[in-house]
Amino acid sequence: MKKKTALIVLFVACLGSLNSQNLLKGTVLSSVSENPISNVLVRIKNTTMTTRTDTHGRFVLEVLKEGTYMVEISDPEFETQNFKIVFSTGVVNLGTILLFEEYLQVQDLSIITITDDELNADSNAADNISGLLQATKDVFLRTAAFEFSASFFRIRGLDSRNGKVLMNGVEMNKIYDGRAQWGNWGGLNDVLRNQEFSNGLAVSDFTFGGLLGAMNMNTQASKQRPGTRVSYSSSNRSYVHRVMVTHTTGISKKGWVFTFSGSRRTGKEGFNEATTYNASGFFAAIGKKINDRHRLNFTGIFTPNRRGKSSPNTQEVFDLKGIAYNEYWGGLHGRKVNSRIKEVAEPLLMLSHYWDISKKTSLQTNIAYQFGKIGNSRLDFNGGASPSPTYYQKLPSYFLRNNKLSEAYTAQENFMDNGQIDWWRIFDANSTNATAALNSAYILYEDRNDDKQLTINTIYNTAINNNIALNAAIEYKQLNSHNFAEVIDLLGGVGYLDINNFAKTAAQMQNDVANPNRVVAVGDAFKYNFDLSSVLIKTFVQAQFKYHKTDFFLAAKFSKTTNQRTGLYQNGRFENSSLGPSEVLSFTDYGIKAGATYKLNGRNLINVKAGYLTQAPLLRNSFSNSRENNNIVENLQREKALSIDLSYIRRSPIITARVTGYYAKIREATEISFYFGDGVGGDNTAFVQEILTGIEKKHMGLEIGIEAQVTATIKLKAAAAVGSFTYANDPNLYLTSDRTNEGVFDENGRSGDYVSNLKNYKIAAGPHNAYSVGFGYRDPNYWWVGSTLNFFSNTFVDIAPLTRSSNFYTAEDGLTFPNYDLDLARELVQQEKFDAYKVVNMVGGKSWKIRGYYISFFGTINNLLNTAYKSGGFEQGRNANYTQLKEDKALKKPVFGNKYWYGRGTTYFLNASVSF
Amino acid sequence: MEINKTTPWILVLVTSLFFNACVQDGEYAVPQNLGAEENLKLAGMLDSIQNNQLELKSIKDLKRLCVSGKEPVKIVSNIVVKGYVISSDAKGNYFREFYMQDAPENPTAGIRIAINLTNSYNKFNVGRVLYIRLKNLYLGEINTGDGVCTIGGKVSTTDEKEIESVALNQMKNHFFRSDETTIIVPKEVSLAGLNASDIGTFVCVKGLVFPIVLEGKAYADPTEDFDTQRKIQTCQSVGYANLLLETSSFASFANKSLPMGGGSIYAVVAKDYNGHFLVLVLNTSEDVKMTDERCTTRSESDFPMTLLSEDFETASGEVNITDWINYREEGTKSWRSYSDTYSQSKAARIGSKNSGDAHTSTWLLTKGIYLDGTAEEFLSFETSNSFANGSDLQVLISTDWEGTVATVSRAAWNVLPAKIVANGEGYKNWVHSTFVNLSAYTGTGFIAFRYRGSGNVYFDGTYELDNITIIAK
Repeated sequence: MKKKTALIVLFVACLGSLNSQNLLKGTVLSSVSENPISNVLVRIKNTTMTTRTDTHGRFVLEVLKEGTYMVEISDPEFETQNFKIVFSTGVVNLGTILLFEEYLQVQDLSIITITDDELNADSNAADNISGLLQATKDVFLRTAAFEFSASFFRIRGLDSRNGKVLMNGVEMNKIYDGRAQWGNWGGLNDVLRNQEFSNGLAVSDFTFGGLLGAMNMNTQASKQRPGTRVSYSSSNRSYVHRVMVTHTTGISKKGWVFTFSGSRRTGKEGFNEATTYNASGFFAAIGKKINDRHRLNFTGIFTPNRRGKSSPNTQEVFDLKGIAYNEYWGGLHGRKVNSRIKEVAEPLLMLSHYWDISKKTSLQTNIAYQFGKIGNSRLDFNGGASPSPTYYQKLPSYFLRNNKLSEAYTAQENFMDNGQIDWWRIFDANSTNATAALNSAYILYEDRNDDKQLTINTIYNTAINNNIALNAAIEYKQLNSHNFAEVIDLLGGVGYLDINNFAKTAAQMQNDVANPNRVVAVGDAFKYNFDLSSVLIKTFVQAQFKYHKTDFFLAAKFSKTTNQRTGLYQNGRFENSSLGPSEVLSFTDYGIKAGATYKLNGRNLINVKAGYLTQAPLLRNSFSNSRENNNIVENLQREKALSIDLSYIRRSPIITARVTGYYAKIREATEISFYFGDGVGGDNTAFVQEILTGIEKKHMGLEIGIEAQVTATIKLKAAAAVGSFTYANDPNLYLTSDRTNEGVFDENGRSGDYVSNLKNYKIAAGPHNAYSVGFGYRDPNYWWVGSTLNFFSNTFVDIAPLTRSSNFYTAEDGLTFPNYDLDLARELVQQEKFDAYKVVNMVGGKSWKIRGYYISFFGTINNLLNTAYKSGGFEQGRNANYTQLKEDKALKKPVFGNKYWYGRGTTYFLNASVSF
Repeated sequence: MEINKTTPWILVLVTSLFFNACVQDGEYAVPQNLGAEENLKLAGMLDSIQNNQLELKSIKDLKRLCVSGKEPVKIVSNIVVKGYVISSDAKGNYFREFYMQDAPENPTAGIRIAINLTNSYNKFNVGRVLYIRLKNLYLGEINTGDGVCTIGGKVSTTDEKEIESVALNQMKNHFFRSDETTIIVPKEVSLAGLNASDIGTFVCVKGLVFPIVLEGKAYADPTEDFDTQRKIQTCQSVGYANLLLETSSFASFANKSLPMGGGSIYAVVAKDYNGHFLVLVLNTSEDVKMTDERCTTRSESDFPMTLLSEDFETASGEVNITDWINYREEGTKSWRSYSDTYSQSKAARIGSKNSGDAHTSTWLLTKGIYLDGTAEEFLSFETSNSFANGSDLQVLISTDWEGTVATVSRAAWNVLPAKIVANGEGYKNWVHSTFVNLSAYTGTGFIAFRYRGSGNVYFDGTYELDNITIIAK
């Protein structure tokens, strides 16, 4: 990455000094456009001294002590440069420094599949952390972001909630599930380029971070590059068209600076059928320099977006309809109309105050408010047959199970010819009912989370001397999340009866006892209605020490979380436990971490980090059935995590490499999942919540990244992740349901206690092993190409814990199934391992400058060989016992087989941009 | 920077046009031409009927093709049946079946359709006019011998004497809905008078109560896996007449308590799964309107006069009673006296099995009974049978018959709502007719017991008749 060029001649020590201060000065320009580059990091190695360039590309750094130093000038989009300087006294002016674009990195992050996968965030398998990584230059991490992410690769096998995403130092991860909602700033790539990523337990100046690290985006208008940038992109992955326009003014004489950005992304469908894309993005940042010490910055972000979702499917369905098949749409008005749309519209307003108390001390204070809605639409049908075209009774396997060959054939023909939602039938049913003055059979509704979140925080940074820096922060956060279902469309009907048909009595059928048998219309809340509130207070302190041979740091955090549910409906199934406030859940957490880097010499480093932290249970995992009642997960515990890693880093002019070994252990984790279970206590079928507590997980492995600048124009790189992510104990399990006194459920709808024998099962965390080799060629005439070959293995299906509990072998009478065969059982609960696969990606581009316009083109092709591969999947909870699983697995085509996501076939992304 | 001042803004303008680019991702408007295609298909079919390419058959005629207990009949000719839907699975009381009758009002026949469709109520709603093109569909029984003639899609793979539902894929080629939905006027019937010919029709029964022992019980017994039969009784008679109300455990009102007042029930006439009894099946519990006072019954001792009494004890050979007529309208079989071994009593018997006759129609006509001398009169009798699948027995009354064989066919005969032994009843058992109120009739009334055999060698059964009385006050 480092490129020492003839520019070193620019290193000229200016002699004439007027004061006793040692100043380092310079101006950084882009080699292509010759425009100044702002916000470039200028750092004196082995010290805490850093600064960034201003909008004119200029920097000035005060150096306190005389001596010989290495200066590093770096920016995520450009190649890093290093200079050796000798200070005696006075000013060292580096003059004009030209930075070369890091060609493999101008690919903007939109080509990574961040927001696509996050659409399916309700499922465990689809969880992507690539958004975190765009700011890093580490070969391994960039490979993970650009090459591995489409395979749902997870760094260290950890959930993305272990990575903290910050905007101006304010944490943006959702309190509900701990994950960042990337859609909330999607399409604003131009203005979110100022990012810093701290990998793993490494230090961040803003936060303690999580096990995966922390990424901070700086949106200050004064840190944006002045000028205008217009770009257009086209792709067949998720959106088809994207335009972005961004403009930043220079700083006015009165100290004002403005940045505006707008974007629009549209598409009728991406790789998967009917995955519509309808997103806009608006951004405004207004900066005001009050005086040399005080600056204010306001940021407003609004990125309303609507995306059509796609379904996971069984192998039977993929075999018949192909890997782009999506069951959620049906033909209507000559279009593919998707019934499941995720809409995110959560405006964010943030006011930041930057106070340079002294040259060495700064205090940043933010107040942020976010509000709006997240909606996930779907069909509801308490008066109609299931509209799902893949409903098990419509597929050939269902008929084959009963040996009805001709019916199976007809079902297959029918599924292949149609196999989509029949909107016409839905409208016909509703208008038939309307004519008969009956309520609608079907409606379209959305599950809503309307959050209001206020955050106030203060971040303090000070350099005690050249070698010691101190960071501290305190944050107060308050969330009120209103959760309910809302009718979107009556689909030709007149009204919809708000009852749960599966309940036994008329009283139990009520979702809202205060309004029995209510008929709802468009815009009405129904089904469930509750508030979740959360108050979070957290602090963090950190000390960083940087010396010639060793760097080290120590950090600690402390936080207090208070969560509560307030039911707004009295639910007929839980009359006494649904309305009003729940018990208050209070948790105190702490975390400590430390790390050290020992420099064997300038080129070989050894780094070690360790941390231990506790984490209050997520809101999501605190209430066992939050839609229906106030019940709290029994014996709810804080999650505890221990993480250690050891790295060897080599930085030579030709080879840059890092090898890291890591070990993380998570204890007392809680997980809740929901499904329709057959064979829960013998032969019964019920919608259940499965609560798994006291889970222990072990994540260990190696990360390797090597990059070699073979010639001035050719670069080779290789990366490998070899991991083992397993359950480390047999956690406790119980089920809850709104069925009472039935099957395994007692009068409160709770099952008995089970132990799920998960120990040594693999965690579904994408491919445990991923390898990549590739090259890049950069022509002096500003064009470049690159290609990588990637290999993935050890991807596992997400297992159903109930199937690994005593429920599996227990018949309704409480005894073991009479025909229970231990060997066969062992075979049945074997975890599916997906086939290993290879993916080839290509990238190329060209840029040039014409009369002040900087023009750039680039394109990527992913999965050039059109490899079909399973990127994730899960076992369906329907076959919860031995008899049923045995019957189903004995079939050639199982009726309730595992559901999968397939990776995309060959896709392209093209981009053209102009800046001036 | 030396740039043309306008160029960038043109660029910005052009790109901003994209901001209006529209993605139609939330349009769920009702299609304008909803149902148009179906109407067109129906119109085509009606034309074909007009042109005699298709034959429209009545439900009654169609049901004649059903032979209980035998292999289903595959329809090979171009016939179409028209009906009015009368059942609804909206409340879960029907599963993958519905009934339709031949007229919205005063139906004469109804039929069951087995279909692999749940929530069929939102397609085949009550009152909907439906045409079914029958070619390649089947007529038969779902449970062999259950006596409920049903339209199905195929022969069962497990029992060749049974049919299975019409599959979803078959539906579009056979079922044609008119866009017309009519109002179904329930046919008023008396509880005792229901018989097999009423199966598949929508009726109203008045003056009902649930027996007092059912107080606190729900429509369905929670320990039943499938259906529960609850006894219903009427006070319109002397003593109680009973019938069963059948409710599925899956009905949404299954756990609702039975009302203990008196009143009426609107329901579809059907049979229990085994075909042993007639039952009433509800579309919704709202069709049970029993909030009035419970009625009280009257006993036989309230009626001291006897206008007619015949126990056949003195008869022998062909029944020959003074002023009665034993009339063979068709066929060679007469009513004959016989001695019942189980009841140790003599009775009248008729059956056309093995007669070789194409049709049998034999009447046993009583003497004239003067009805104007008393205020209220009740007829009762007992029946028994053996293998009566293909035949039937009716009790009728006429007040304008002249009393001669020659004029039987000219007289007006009304079917009386008496309970007559059902096929499936044990052959040893005698079934009481219930007390049939004759107060509505004036002048001189003649009671007739008419036996009809279908001519089928194997199926025509035997009926036995005894203890005919008319009491009065």
